[in-house]
Amino acid sequence: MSTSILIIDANLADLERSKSALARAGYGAEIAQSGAEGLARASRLRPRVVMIDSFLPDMEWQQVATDLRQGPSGAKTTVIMLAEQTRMGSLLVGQPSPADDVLIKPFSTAEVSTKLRDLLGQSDTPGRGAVVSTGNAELDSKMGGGIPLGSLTLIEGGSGAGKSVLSQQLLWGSLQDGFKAAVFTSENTVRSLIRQMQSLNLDVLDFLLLNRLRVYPMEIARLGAQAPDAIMEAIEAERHRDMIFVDSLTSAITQCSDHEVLGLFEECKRLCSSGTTVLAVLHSHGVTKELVIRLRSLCDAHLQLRTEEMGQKLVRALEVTKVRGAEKSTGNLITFEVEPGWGMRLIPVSRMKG
Amino acid sequence: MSRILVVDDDEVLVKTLVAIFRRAGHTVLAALDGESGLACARAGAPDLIILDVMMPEMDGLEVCLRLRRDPQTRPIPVLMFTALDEPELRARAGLAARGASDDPPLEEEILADDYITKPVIVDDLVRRVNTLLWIASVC
Repeated sequence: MSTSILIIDANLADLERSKSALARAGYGAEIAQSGAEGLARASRLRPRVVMIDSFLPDMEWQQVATDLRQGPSGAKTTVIMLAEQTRMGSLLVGQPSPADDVLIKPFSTAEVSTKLRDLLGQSDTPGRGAVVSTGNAELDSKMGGGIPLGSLTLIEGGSGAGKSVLSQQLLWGSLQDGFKAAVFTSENTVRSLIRQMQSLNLDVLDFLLLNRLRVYPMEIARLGAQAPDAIMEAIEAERHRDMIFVDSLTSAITQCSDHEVLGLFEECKRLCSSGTTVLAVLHSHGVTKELVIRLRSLCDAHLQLRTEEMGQKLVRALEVTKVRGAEKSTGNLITFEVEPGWGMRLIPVSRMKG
Repeated sequence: MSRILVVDDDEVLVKTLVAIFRRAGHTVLAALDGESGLACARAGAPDLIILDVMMPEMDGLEVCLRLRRDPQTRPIPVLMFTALDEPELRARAGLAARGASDDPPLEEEILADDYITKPVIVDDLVRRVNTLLWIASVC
């Protein structure tokens, strides 16, 4: 179902910007440039969401919101007040508001997408069938738009190739987009994962406190041969979350046969068919070449990481070997460096060769 | 940039303050009742708390008193955000303190670092928050 949105804003440039951000999030929007025009359009369109700028030339925004509420579909209409960043300082806060929420202009696609998902619930949002963003537009475009929702992704690579950084970037992007995630980690404690991500400018502490993120450190050595079953059981218990990250599976499967490893991935695949997105990180040396080929065909996306010498420099390279159902065609090779306080910084191959 | 905790039962107001302070570059935590506010204050280590007074169950004055009596949260500056005026606030603070414990309360245990009345212009609120954060950073 497509959600109808009406934006009432006197500033045409802002209107266009807001409309574009909504379009990128998968929503169509109608526009009106005054309160009176907005009310007239609303009575005809009966939009599910009305965004009203707080500075209208002809009416107080509160009056527009109140009149809308009294209209034919008013009770069902979600009202979002828009405040322009430069004029925000003169806003009055702390009095009863006729709005359901507020957005500060200009707003990003991720911001509006999260807000509408929270306000409307999953059924009215175009999220399903869409992609999980990394939160890095450049990286997303190289990955064909992002990881498709409800997919099984294998992130594979050698030591220090950036597997964890990439999975953390995807974790951050998915949380920013309003998804709920669980992380099973053999590499970190809860505290060290949060600190590591903060050092990459990917602060997820708020999400942890708000229970949008759960982190489970895995004690693989203690679990021994029971590790794969125990991990799968723990993942099943968190299947209500949108995203499951396992970083990494390597030590858990070292004692397993290829058949058992494939069985574990098949279980994950079953989980994906019910809408959960699963990302598993694996060290290349933990699996045979033959097994990698079989896992690659089982997974919806395969991201291979390695370190490469380019010119005088050693850089990390991400090869997007497969993204099933990608929005756009994927780039073959992405070179990047990991910079403290910045995170993943993409480097053009041409500059590296130069 | 700082970590600010907003505790208020008015969800739209909380969303507005979260949007304003997040856009200003702060990390913002939010709670919609006193109990959650206390939990967030303990777990989230905020640099400042904006606290509503009139909340159901546990009101802001009781939250403030509990924050002051916990050594972990005692140093966190608290800005009361209230529709009450100062004399009314002081009178209610005394009652809250007497109700929360048998021990006679100390004045500094009850009082917030500052208070601001609702409604308020965003600029005034931001200025007050910045002042409290600055005082906390130099003390």
